[in-house]
Amino acid sequence: MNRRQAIKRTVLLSGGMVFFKYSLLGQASSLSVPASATFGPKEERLLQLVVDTMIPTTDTPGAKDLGVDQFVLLMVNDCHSEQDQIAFYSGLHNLDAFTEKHFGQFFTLCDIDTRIEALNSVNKKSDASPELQTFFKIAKKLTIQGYLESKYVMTEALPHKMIPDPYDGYYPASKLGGKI
Amino acid sequence: MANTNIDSVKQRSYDAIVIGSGISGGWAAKELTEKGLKTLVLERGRDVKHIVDYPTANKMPYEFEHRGEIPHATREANPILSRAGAWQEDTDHFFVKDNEHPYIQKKPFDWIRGYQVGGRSLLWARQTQRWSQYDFEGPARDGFAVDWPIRYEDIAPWYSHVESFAGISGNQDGLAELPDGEFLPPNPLNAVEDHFKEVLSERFEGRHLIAARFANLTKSTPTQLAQGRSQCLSRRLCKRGCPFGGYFSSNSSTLPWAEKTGNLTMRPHSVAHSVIYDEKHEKATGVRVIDSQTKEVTEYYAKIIFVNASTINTNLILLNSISSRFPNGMGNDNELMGKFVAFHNYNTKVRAEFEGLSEFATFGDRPGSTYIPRFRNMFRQETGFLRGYATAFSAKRNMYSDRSGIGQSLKESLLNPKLGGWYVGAQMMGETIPKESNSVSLDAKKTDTWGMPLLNIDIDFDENDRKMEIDSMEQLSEMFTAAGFKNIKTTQKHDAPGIDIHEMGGVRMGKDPKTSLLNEWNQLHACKNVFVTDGACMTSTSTQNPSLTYMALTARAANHAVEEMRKGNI
Repeated sequence: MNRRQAIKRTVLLSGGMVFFKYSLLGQASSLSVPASATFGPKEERLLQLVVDTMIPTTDTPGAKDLGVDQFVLLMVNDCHSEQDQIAFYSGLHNLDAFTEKHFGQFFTLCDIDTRIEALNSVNKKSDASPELQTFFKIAKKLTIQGYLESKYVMTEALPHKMIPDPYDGYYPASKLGGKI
Repeated sequence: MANTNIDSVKQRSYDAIVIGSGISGGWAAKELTEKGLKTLVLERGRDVKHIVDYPTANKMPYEFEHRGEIPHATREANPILSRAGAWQEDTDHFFVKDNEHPYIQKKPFDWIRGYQVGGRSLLWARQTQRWSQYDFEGPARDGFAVDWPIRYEDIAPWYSHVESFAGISGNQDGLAELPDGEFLPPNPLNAVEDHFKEVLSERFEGRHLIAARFANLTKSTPTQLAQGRSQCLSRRLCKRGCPFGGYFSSNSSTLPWAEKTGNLTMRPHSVAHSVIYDEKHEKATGVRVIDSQTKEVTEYYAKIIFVNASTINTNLILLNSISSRFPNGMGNDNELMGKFVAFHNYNTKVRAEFEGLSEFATFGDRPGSTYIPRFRNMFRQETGFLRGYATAFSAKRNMYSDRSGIGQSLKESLLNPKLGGWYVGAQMMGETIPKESNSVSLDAKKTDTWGMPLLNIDIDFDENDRKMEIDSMEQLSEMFTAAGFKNIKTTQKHDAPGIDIHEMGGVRMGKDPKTSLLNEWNQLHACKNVFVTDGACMTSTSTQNPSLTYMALTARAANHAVEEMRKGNI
């Protein structure tokens, strides 16, 4: 199916973030999801839990708090090929079944350690479908990107300097934690 | 009624018309207005005012919806543009989209364009190396193209002229193959670049690594402060337009300078249709312009015309300037116009790692890198291919984080980046040989939205280029090995030409009107009040990034034009 021909349905994604001021998009936003994708409240919760598992809330905001799940969806829908999109949504949809088979219950019902183990096993279990693997690969890449390039991380955790320090080509490596 | 007509013609008359406001058109405007000429600059795109029209200049990365990435559907709709690395979410507004301005690719050619006031001077890579006597002597020595009608000493004072004004950083390196100039302080080298420099000087005769000369202000002198430009802050966001004027562009420098004289009229949205020829007086009298928005056609008149529409469009406009005297395009008596187009070859890269000098890292940033001037066939022919390549080189040491985990361990790793090892990278910048078969021509039938003929572009690499690519990988690998670099990886791309964005020629300079279009002052041999000083004038390409040479040729030609006007010769 041609992506551009696809009739897209709009899904309203709710916010519900703990650290609302850091949210990537600033507000609950509407995203267009390919018509062929299965994406409803269940998948929405599932994705939130996946990003939350990958980069959890500690004494600082985690990926879910920063709205990274919305960023992941935005990037999948806008910046990935139709093929990737189909695999991503299919993989996401199948995550519960995969987790139930190997860990006894749905991903959404597992405790944090089991959720981590489940995600780690996507690349190890031979019965993990290519779609599930694609989902995992894209979700992890975009979760890391969305987190590192969130306003919170770029202004508070690892402040990004628009104007860098003057160049030093002989800077002592030890000052950056490097081995001598 | 008669009076109204006379008034109207008067209102549309200037001393000079410059077609194009990019890096060379901006220089023509500056020089001509400074000499007191009322000058009309025609720009086919929209206006871009310095600072106010740089909407993304101060945005943080998280302020871009897709973090800089161009959406998939937009990329798919723009296969040509999508191959330009500089096209990102933050620079999107400065690039022409594929479907806006189509052309016919007889062979694949990625024509990357910026249609706006300032043109691609907003987007350029800013490397500014002078040509040497060996570059100008190249075609004559090696028997290709035609002999350049000028030599290094003809252009040297004009290199100085443009360097001083634009603000070019660099060292006085004392190399015959890459002459020194009027330089601001150089960009510093780092520990590994200095190490490589030393290895080359000790073990490779005639191979030199230097701080590349760049059009970023490593210091602001009174000359640039007078233009309202201040020191470069190494933000490396040049392509968004710099609110500090930290790098040279028409928008930050030459155009506002020309405007200050009171002699400049800028007309955006003006597609130059053709240069008008007066059969009776045997000279050009103006430019026929199509308003890009209303499609209304208006004629503007002037005593001299500078065609600086960028290489390929300059060819288009002149080929489209038909008269009884010039049925094949203005000045095209020998039917060589549009032919002998050449470009630069960036097809190979060599990368490696380095375990030495681990006590050092890099900190902060700089607006430059390093440069190895051409060392092949430099002073004599010594390989199985003609000419050679310069090399861009840089070394860096990045911070990285282990991304293998999931959960709290991943979060901690991301928030505590570690210092990585040294990486080095080199890229060839090769000269290509102009050939008659590499050409642009007007399509006989197809036209664009404005009724301009579409261009056929028929340009390709040749055997000489492939030999040079292989040699560059071999030589760089050997040099890397000697420097102790490890895990050396070479890549040879097969990009289409055009993506180097250094297209040159088609209206080449030369001594003989039978074999060239322009004389030693960039005047059309057959119509002396028309000057071509953008990339179209280039007889050969050498290896240096070409913009500095366009600027110097333009300033030289503009000053000659004013002298000739005053003498009554044109």
